[in-house]
Amino acid sequence: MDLALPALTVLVLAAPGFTFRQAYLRGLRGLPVRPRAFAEEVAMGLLVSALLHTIAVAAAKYLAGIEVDFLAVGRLLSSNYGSNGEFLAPTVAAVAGHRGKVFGYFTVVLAAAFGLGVIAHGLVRRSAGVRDVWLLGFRDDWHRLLTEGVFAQEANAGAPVSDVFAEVSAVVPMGKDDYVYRGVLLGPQNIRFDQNGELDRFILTAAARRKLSDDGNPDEQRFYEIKGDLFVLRYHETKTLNIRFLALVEESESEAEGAAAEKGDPEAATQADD
Amino acid sequence: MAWEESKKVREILGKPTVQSQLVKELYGARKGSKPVVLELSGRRYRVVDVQRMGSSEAASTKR
Repeated sequence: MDLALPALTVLVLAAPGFTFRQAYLRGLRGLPVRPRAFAEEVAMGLLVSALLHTIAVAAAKYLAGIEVDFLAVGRLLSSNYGSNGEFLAPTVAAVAGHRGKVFGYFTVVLAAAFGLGVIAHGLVRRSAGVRDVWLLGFRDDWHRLLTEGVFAQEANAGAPVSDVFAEVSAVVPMGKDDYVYRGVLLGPQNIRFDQNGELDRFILTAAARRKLSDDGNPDEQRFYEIKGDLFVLRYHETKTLNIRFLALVEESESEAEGAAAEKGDPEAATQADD
Repeated sequence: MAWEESKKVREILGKPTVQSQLVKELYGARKGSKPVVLELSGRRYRVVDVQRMGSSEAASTKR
């Protein structure tokens, strides 16, 4: 009990800080993040916990008139109940006698920590400048690169682009040869990350492949379709990776009409007229 | 803005005939090739490189 109770007390007191950190880093959608060093994360969690408890204790006193017995907390943390254990009974009474308030306090603080974490995540994620600050960064390099970074080209297009998909090309060594695999990534939900926030695999459709050495032969059919509905490309098996973001632009009636006329297809041209 | 799943993309590119067309025309495209145009239900969709698209094309993805 001498070791377990102080450890349990530290764990309970630190829980709001770690809850805040997880909610802040991952948000509601569970952003795939690269974890920090254990000591670094513990230090941050404890610091946030101390801050949250400071605010919560003051709020409990002024809003609900609840006073925290810091002496009892200190005894629980240090496991010091006097030379003859004379302070054990008052300490137990301080917690057990107010178990409803203690439970309520931690429930509210944990819920607030989670809510504040999610709100802070949303605010920081919208601001690239703040997000690049080392201490505030989410460490979601791969996720950010593949789902957000490339959309800086909105500046080129001058307007948000929808109906986007990606063409993924990768060189995969197989035996003595290198093969180029190519496929379509329909959306970001088809990218998988591992528990360390690293890119793990793509789930592609319309997959095809060819030998890299066939590049120089102009007569060679460039790609051979791989029959199947889904193709899983594991990032760790690739040598190099290329991603091209494409969009579907619906042609206007006049464009469709022009294309039909170019093909010499009067029926299609009439349909376009209709 | 983050990349989001598009229902239209899933619907059009999910068709096996369109996928075969992509393999032949998009993957096999060389420099100076004609743009790839996909046809579905009487509508025509041009495949455009997002990095090179202009503002009018970007706006038309909203149609």
